[in-house]
Amino acid sequence: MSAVTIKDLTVRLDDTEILRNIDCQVADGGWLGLIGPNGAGKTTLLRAVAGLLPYRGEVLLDGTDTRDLSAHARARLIAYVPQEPVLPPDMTVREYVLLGRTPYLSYLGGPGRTDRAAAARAMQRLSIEEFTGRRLASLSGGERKRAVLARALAQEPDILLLDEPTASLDIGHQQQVLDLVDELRQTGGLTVLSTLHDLTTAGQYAGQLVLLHEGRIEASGTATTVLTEERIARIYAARVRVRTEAGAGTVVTPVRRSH
Amino acid sequence: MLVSALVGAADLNPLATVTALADRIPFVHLPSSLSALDRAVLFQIRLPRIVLGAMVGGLLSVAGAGYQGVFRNPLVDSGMLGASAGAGLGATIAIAYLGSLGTAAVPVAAFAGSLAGVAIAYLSGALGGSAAAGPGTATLLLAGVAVSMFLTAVQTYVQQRATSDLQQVYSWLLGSLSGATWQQALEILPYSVVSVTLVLLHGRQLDVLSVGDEEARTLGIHPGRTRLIVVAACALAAAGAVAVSGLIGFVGIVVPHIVRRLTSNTSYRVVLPLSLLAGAGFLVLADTLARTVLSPAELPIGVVTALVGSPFFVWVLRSTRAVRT
Repeated sequence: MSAVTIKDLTVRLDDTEILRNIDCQVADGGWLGLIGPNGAGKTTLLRAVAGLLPYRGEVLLDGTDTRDLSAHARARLIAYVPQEPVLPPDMTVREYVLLGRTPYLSYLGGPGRTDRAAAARAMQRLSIEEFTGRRLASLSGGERKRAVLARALAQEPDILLLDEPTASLDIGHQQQVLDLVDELRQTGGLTVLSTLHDLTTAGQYAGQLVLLHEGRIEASGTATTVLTEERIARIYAARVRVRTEAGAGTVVTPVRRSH
Repeated sequence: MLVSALVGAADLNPLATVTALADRIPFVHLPSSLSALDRAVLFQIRLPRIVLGAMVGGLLSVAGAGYQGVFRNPLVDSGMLGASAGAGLGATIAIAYLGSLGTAAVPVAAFAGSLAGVAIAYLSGALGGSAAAGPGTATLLLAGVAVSMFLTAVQTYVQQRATSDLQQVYSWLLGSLSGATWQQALEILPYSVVSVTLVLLHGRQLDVLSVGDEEARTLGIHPGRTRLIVVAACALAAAGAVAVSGLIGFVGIVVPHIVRRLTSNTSYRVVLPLSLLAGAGFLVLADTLARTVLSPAELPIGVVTALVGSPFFVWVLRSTRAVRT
C-alpha cells in the first residue's frame, strides 16, 4: 500500500500549460476521483503520475519520488489503465493478462510459474477465467474492461490509475466495474486514482473528489463539499440540480432548459 | 531439401546421391556409385546453394517478422527503411565504378549500402521524434520511404551513366543464388547467428510492444531502446542476405503472415522462430523451381518467389481466418 502525494505539479506541452501547481494527496487504500469539464487536465494528471509525461514538481509514493524509480520498479508499483487501451485483436486473454507480469521479468526472460499463477489469480478475481483462451477481439465491452483490469492487477501494483473506467459501458456494467474496483481497493489494499465523468457516481465511489478546471484545482474534498449547484453551473456551464438522497448520496441531475 | 539436391541441370542418381550424402555423416561409411564429377556437382554446387538459400530465406523472413513487430505494421518487410535501396545503390556503384574489381566488391558494397540505408533512415526519423521516447513508428517508416526514394534516385542516376553494365545491375537487382559457394555461406554465418539470435531473444519484448508504446512504458519497457536493438538486428540480417543473393522480394513480408495464418498465433515468441524455418524452406523450394523449370536456363529467384508465393499467399488468405498483427 502506498499513499500518493502530488506536490506543486506543473505540466507544459508544446508551450501550453496544461496543469499548474497541482497539490493533492491520497491516503493508503483511498480512492481519489478526478472530475472536471473536458480539457480540464484530468487525463494529463493521470499520465503524469504514470510517468508518461515530463513535469515539474513531484509525485511521491510513501515519500519516494517516482522519478528516482527505474521503469521496472515503477511498473511494479503503478498500473495504468488508459481510457482506450490498445488491445491486439488476436491475442488471447491469457497472453494479454500475462503481459502485466512484464515488470517482474528480466529483459530477455520469459514468464515463469509464479507469473502464470499471478495472472491466473488476477483473472479469477475478475471472473474471466472461463474465457482465458478467447481472443480479445471477440470480447464484449464489459469483458474487455475486465481483461484490461486483470492485466493491471497482474502487475500486483500499489496504485491503480484508471482513466474513465466506465466510458462506453451501460449503467449496469458501469456499476459492476466500479463495485469491482472498490472491492479490489478494500480487499487488495490498492490506492485508486481515477478520472470519472459522471458526477453522481464519482461522488458515490471516490472518497475524495478533486475538481479540475483549466489546469488548476477548483475544489477538493468530499462529494457534499465539492458538488454544489453554483459551482457546477459555473465550471461546466450546465444546468443541474444537486440533492442528497438516502442510499445514493449526492445526486447531480441535469435539468432541461425551460421553454 | 533432399529433392532440391536431386534435381537440376545435371542428372544425379537419387540412390547414389542419398548414399553419398549419408557417407558424409560421421561414423557412417557407405559406398556410393556417384562419379567424381557428380560428387563435385553435389557438394560444390548444389549443397552450398541449398544451404545459402536456406540461410537467406530464414534471414529475410526473420527480419521481416521483426520489423512487423517493431512497427506494429503488417505491410512492412525486410527491405524497409532504405535497406533494399541502400544495397541496390552500393551494388550498382561497385559494378559501375570498380570495373573488374567490382564483381568481387558487390557483396561488401551491398552489405554496407544496406546497413547505411537503415542507419540514415533511422537517424532521419530520430530527428523528427521526441528525445525521450525515440522516434515513433510512423515517423521512422516515413523517413524510411524518403531515404529509399532518395537512394533509388541516386542508384538510377549511376545506372544510367553506366549503361554498359545495365545487364549486370539488373540481374543483381532481381536476386539470384546462382554461383553460391560454401565461402559465401561462411562469410554471412557470423552476421546470421548474431542477428537471428538477437531478434529471436526479443520475441517477448515485441509482444509487449503490441499494446502500443505508451502502455508498454507503463509495463516497464523502453520502447525506443527495444526498437533500436531490433531494427539494428533486422538490418544486419537483411544486409547479410542481400550481400549474397541480391534483392529477393516478397519473402520477408509474406512468410511471417503465412506462419501467423497457419498457426493462428500472433505471439512473436512463436512467429519469429517459425518464420526462420518456413522462410528457409520457402526459399529453397523457390530456388529449386528457379533453376529447374527452364533448365538448364535459370529464372531469377525474385520472379519465382513472387510467381509461386503470390497465389499461395492468396490461397492462405482465403482458407484461414484473419489474424491481425
